[in-house]
Amino acid sequence: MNIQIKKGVIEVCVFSILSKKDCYGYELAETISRHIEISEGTIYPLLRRLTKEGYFTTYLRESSEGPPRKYYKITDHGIEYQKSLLKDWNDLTKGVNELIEECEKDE
Amino acid sequence: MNKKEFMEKLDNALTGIPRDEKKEVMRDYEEHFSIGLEKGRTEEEIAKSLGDPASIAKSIKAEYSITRAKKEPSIKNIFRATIAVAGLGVFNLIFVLIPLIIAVELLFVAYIVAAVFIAVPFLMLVYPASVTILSGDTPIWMVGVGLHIIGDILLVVLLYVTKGFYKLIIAYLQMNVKIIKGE
Repeated sequence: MNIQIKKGVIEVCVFSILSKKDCYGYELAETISRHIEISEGTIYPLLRRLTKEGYFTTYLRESSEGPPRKYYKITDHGIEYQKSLLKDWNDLTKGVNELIEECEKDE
Repeated sequence: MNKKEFMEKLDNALTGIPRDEKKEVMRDYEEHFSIGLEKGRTEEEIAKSLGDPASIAKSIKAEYSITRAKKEPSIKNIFRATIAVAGLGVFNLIFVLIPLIIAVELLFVAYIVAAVFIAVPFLMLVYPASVTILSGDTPIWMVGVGLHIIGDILLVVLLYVTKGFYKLIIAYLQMNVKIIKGE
């Protein structure tokens, strides 16, 4: 997929997933990869930035196997942002789809 | 590429960020590998799906340099942040560096104009002949003092503009990181 489109899209995905439940980085990368093609490594810089900006907090939780996992939890600020992001996203995709349909009809 | 190679490449590419920050970043990727291995993937598969460590390092460095320029405002830090963001790709180079250079130049010229205006009355004392052409009917000292005052006002306005401009650059760099880098 075009890399310029992707970054914003990954952000939407991360917010949607975390608004439902806390996740660790691998889980987020895996979930997103199931739907769209991404370089999983870019998820971590994104999570760092959004955490620094106060949308998420992190905590460590022991796992039954291997080292403790860093979980990301959405903050109130993050929930507010997720709502407006989702609205923007829906408006955008709706608009673009309408435009494409119109163009197809004209042919 | 196996885990060791990936981590080494990332480690080497992550220059210029504090040790704690780097440790944290390395920890995240360590965790990623160990969970992947638990799930039965090979190191090579995991490294491949993570992507290029050099480009991961670039975006982490760009994020960091912006945070730093925000926390400790200085010309040096803003310059670093600009270079880091511009380094993300040709697209960023065009959209970051060129507008910034133009804006800085304009600001620079405005400061020079202010400095010249402020200096006018002093220049008049030293070289009385140099301003006679400008003055026309108005008393010459009035022209000098008038220009000086305009220069002072311009300087105050410029100081405010510069401060606002700094914030604007930061916001602009952040937007660039957000929108453009997406691999």
